[in-house]
Amino acid sequence: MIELEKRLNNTRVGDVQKTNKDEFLSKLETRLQNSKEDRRTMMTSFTMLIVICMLTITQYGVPDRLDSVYYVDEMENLLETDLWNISGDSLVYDESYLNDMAYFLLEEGYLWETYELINELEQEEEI
Amino acid sequence: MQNDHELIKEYQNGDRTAFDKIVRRHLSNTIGFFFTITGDRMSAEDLAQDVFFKLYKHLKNFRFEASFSTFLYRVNLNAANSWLSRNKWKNLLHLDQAPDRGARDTEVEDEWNRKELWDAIAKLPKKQRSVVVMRIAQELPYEEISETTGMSVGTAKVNYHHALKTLKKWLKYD
Repeated sequence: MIELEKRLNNTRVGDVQKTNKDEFLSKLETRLQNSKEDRRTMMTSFTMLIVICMLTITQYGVPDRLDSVYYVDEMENLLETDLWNISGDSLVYDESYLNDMAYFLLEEGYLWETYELINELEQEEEI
Repeated sequence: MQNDHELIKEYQNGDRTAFDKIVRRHLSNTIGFFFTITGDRMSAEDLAQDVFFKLYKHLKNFRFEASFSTFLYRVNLNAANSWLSRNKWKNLLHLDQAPDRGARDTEVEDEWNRKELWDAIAKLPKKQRSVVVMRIAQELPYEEISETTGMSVGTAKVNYHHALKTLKKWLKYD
């Protein structure tokens, strides 16, 4: 046991006087600065992630009128054809039908189409 | 000359130079402690860096219930235990790199003896290892080991005795 203890004690180094303390402190300072910067970067990234998640969940900035996005498709689905390709003389339709059509388009918010329809009717009448 | 507690109080009040003074005061001893365990100056300095990096954060909340040296021994012991556990697995993978036992070069032989001893210490159960590390590398009396590790003086002595017995068996001492 004593021999083993002696051998163990022989491995002891004790105080290491040769260490350059200034260099050690400078390394420590650099490490502390890096740690602070890393923490700041982490915090910024985390905040940005939270903001992105919040915006995704609340759908901030998404247009609330989907018909403005799918305008063309919806027009086609609604009328099944466009007004310019109606085969037949528009004068064949009676006036009340055309009035109803104009009101319908106005109520649905298709101002430009209403204007086109009225314009077309006026041209037909002039002819 | 200010004592450790006075310096810590100054550091807690925002004086950064007080921390540098603490580092300067305990650096040689801390590196010596790790040098004994690792046998490598670079590793010892790296471990000392880890210890003072942790101290920089934890000293702000130091409550002056124990002496600073006991607190430092505890931090050193934790770092040493982690290092020994990490290296236990590393050594298993590098067994073929052991020096030739027949070599006559005293320095190589000493280094091999040292490495063999500390590899064996790394394999001891944590309590026994802690007592041996404190006793050998830090040369602490049992009373201080008891304060640092939280075990009674009797338990520390028993653990040391068991550790030596196990080491003797592993290292084939008659």
